[in-house]
Amino acid sequence: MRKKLFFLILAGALSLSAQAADKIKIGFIGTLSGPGGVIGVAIRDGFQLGLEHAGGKLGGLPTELLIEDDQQKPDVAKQLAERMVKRDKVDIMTGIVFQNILQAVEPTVLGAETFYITPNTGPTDLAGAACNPYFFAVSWASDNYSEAVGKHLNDKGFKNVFVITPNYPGGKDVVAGLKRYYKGALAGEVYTKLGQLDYAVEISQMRAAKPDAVFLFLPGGMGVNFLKQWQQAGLGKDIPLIGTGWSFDQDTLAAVGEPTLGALNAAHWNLDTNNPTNKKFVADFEKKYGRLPNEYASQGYDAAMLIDGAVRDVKGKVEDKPALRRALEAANFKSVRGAFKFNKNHFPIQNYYLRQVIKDDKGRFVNKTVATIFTDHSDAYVAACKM
Amino acid sequence: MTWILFLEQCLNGLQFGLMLFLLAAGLTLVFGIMDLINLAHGSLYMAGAYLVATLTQATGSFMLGVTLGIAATALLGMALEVLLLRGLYKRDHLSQVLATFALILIANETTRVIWGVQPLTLNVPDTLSGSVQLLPGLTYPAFRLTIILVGLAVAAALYILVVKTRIGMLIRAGASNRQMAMAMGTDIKWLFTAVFGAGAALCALAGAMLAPLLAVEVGMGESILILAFVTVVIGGIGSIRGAFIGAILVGVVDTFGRAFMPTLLRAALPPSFADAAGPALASISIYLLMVGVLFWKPRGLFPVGS
Amino acid sequence: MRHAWLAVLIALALAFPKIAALLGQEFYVSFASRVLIWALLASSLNLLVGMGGMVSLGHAAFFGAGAYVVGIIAADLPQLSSALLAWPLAMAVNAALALLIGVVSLRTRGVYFIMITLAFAQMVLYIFVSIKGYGGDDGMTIARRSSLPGVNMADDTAFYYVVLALLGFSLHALGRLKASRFGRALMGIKDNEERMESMGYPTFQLKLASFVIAGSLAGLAGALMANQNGFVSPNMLHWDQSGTALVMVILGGLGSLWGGARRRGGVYASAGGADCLHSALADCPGAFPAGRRLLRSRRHRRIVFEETAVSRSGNLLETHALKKHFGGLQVTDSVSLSIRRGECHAVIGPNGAGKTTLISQISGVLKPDAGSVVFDGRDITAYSVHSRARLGFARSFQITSILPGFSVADNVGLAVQAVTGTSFSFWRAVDADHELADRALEILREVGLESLAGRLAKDLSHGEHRQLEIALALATRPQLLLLDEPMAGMGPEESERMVGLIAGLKGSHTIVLVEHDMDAVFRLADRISVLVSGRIIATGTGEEIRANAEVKIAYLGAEEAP
Repeated sequence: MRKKLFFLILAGALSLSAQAADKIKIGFIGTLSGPGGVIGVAIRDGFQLGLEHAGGKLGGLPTELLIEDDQQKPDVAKQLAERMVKRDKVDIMTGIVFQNILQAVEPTVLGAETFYITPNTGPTDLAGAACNPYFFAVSWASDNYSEAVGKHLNDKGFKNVFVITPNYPGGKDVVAGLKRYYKGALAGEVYTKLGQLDYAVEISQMRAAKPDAVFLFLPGGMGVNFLKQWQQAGLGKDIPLIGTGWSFDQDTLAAVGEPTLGALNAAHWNLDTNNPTNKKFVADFEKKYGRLPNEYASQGYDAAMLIDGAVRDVKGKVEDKPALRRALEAANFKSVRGAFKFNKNHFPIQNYYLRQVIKDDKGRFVNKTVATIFTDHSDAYVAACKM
Repeated sequence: MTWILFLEQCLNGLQFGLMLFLLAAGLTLVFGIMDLINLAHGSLYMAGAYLVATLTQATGSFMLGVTLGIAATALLGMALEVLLLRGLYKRDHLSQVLATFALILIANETTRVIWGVQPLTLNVPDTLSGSVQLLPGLTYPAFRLTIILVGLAVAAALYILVVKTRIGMLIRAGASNRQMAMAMGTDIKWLFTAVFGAGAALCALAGAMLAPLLAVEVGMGESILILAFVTVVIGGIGSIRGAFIGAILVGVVDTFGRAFMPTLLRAALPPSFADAAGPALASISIYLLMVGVLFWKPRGLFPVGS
Repeated sequence: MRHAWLAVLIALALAFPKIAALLGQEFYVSFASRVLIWALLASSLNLLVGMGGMVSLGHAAFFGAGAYVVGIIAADLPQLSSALLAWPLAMAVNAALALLIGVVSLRTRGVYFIMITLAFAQMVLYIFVSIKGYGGDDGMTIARRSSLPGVNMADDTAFYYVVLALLGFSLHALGRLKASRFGRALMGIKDNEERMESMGYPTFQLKLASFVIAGSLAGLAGALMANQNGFVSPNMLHWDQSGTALVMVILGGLGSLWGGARRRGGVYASAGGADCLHSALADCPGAFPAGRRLLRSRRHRRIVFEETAVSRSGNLLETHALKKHFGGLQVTDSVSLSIRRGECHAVIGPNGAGKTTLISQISGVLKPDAGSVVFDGRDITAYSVHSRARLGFARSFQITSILPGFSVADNVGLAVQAVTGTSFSFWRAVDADHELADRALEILREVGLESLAGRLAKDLSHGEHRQLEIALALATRPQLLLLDEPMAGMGPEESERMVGLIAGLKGSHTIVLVEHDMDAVFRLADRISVLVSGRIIATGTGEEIRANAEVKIAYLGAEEAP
């Protein structure tokens, strides 16, 4: 019975094979459902808008986009990646939201010398010793945002900061980035269970510790819950809250509203980033999807535009991998974030901004860029990359 | 660690425990009387939270939203019982686990279709949004204090209902000896439906109380469901008193584990090891509690029946 | 017919990578390996759920821990990276983990068992989440698969065959296990645990052994999955993995794979592919000699144990001032009885006099509040049901307690197995064990059920159930038979047959008979004790009891009252 099933699948697969040489296949694996699904959906929407702006043809080649949901499960993602690489033989892959998923998938994709462009998570090992000719980050290194926060806190003379992050490697990376630039004391350092819902215990600890600022890195729903409870505890008036852009993206602001007002955060892009590409992106995104884009969407859009530019540069010869790699390295496209280029580890050199949540003239909660923290900033790992 | 912080953490533990009690009370009765393992109990909690959030937005009043939401969830629960779950009472536990597991998936998909993937938010009503000064130096969010009071009131009401009234007698008889309860009345079906509806209403009340604190989102039921089960099992299946004691124990142990375990370990052990072990021990503290209880009392703290 | 299908199935499994390669779809080879690994996990869980009736919602703990053993070896202990070391180590670690979890969990039943296994799995999950060195929540990548001499494990096809071979062997082993004494005892526990215990089976140890075997097999599946995926993450330990494995067991068919297998003409005939595979693979006699030697030494100890129980006095059983109360009600009040060797001693009394409570205290189901039970000069008050059973107690239950899903012959066979040798025999088919079958038939002849040997026990009539009860009691070669209302609910004809049966046992067995049917009691009993409101008011021969004034007032008083 089981074997019979195999052959049914096999027969189905055969009818789909035999790809044409004159098109490009993109494999997109993202977290599209579950608690982290909001992020994957934003990236996908951004990518599809980019594809639409390219007329459905990235670099002039008819584009086949295969989209799959990894359900935020590494083993599911691993199987999807194997299928895309081995059966569908895609040219370029992208889409993964979370570091642990990418980590599971990466040996399959890069081992098969398939290009991978990360539209979000930027693991620091891939920026350093484990850098790879087929791996490109169109986003950031995982600790860039918290480096920016650390620099801001240090520059403004904060002395006693309370840190809260989930107890997982990503959280620890982020705190390491913060400490690289922030030299003051820590009023407390709390690692919570990933996916924790109620932060009463931690908020009580913060109240008792009397810090001069609270740094939070609580992605997704965790951040939403923390912000609501933070506001009710009435600490917002006395203690400034600062975080990475991931806790204050546009989707979160729209969902949480009031409690985020006034919070500071750092990111490499904002709605108001001032260049023509971004104005068009923001306007068209809102028109198409009925909501404002966030940085995840901007990264998805840039991933599509990066491919568009590189494929155009190699004149559609995507099977010439060395040429395609050089074209990707050149990053010949207009990014929504403005000035953009790749470092030798294929991670970006770009600006990071301080943003603050305000209420705009339409009554919406949005980020406003208030300062530039880093200009043409790279990452702490590039020296270890021998590429 | 000051005693003010200690007191505040006690309140946090109490508040968390009372919320668990609201969920565990319904679960333990359904468990004890109908002999049904209802994994979908968490879905009722989710449904309650969504309904309360939606109705509050529609009516503009938190009180009205909560009342209507609870009523709607109770009706939903009773409909579920009559249409679906009734057929599961006589099946073995394995079938019940699988069938209600399927219900969770269905509930999540349905919710996603109706409300979308974005979490809903419900803000605390203005009158309860501030903090209250309980003692000099001890301020506590008014809404969390309300939760504690509501939880205690429900516990007291349930106690009176179960211990002092005729219906309560039926319920207790049902929990300790199902056959006898069946033999006692022809209306046993009605009693089952009513108990299930009451359990659903308590779920909705928990959902309503937590909605202003937590994001109302798909899948919110699962994470709390396991805790509710742990509570029920610690207390002894079918025992309201057990659910109450179990819930407070779980709430306090979990809170203290998170609040004090890392500090205590750092004082006693080398920091590198303490930093790794602290969060781990905090996460597993309630499971350790449960295993400990079941080791000494294999049927929970307050076993019901013979 | 079945063998033909099986041959096709095996041929297909063997040829699959070739076919996939021919069609240019090598991708499906690793997909197939993954399916086979899941099948291994599911069959290990089926040993618990299907055979033993233990619904575990924590099986993912072993799956994940097995995977982490491979991951940790790959990261830190490259000298162990041979599959010949790493995989057995994964199984051993999980056997130890299962022993630990099992010792605590198996104290509980039903829902409590489901929840406590879940709790343990959650603990294992959070422990791995917290180990930073091995990737914490992100998990860890495994750069290279475990090595196996002569096999290129990096090749997906070679790995597929390794997995297929291991799955084949495991299914064969599980098939043997099911047909062995151990397997049959385990299924008996699933059917009626109380009965198995009263027959003298060490049910806890049997369940624990199956828990350990299932845990180590799941660990092997985890080790294979880690190799297949090239990474390990705490996600493998998540409870929804346990749930998925349970769903697979159900879809695979609890009944048709190994569960309550249908019995046809003394041969297990079941439809699951796994079973087919098992029966087609060659018999492997002489496997596990070392294990068998170990088990034989246990058997010796038992025989010595029995020989020490040689008679010393005229009384086989004495109770001294047994007291038991429930709440405010004194159910037995200072009951002292002496049962002489070889006699049939009846205990009579009106309803609610405490007869069943008394017999429960004698058999060890209830512990007395005060007083003692002495058997053959030895104080056994603190002995458990199954150690009393091993001393030679056999009880027939007032409410029929048999193994409904087993055939009549197998019911008795299990009872015989309880006293002849060990149940910790995992490999030899029980059907080939003529010692058991012959003895079972002999007993069935004795109680007059010989013609119904192949019938399922649940299909018997009430009277036949009672006869089977007696057969079960006899099969354990008892020194003492406790018969609790053997005639209850019987028509006159059935009663007559039962009286004849018990009369035939008199002399060769010491019998304690609790019965309402006075006619039967006076015909059968050598001596009678009268229990009223928890007290013995008289003991004597039938004539003496008939003549006793106190008995007349207390026992027959109701009839004489106006």
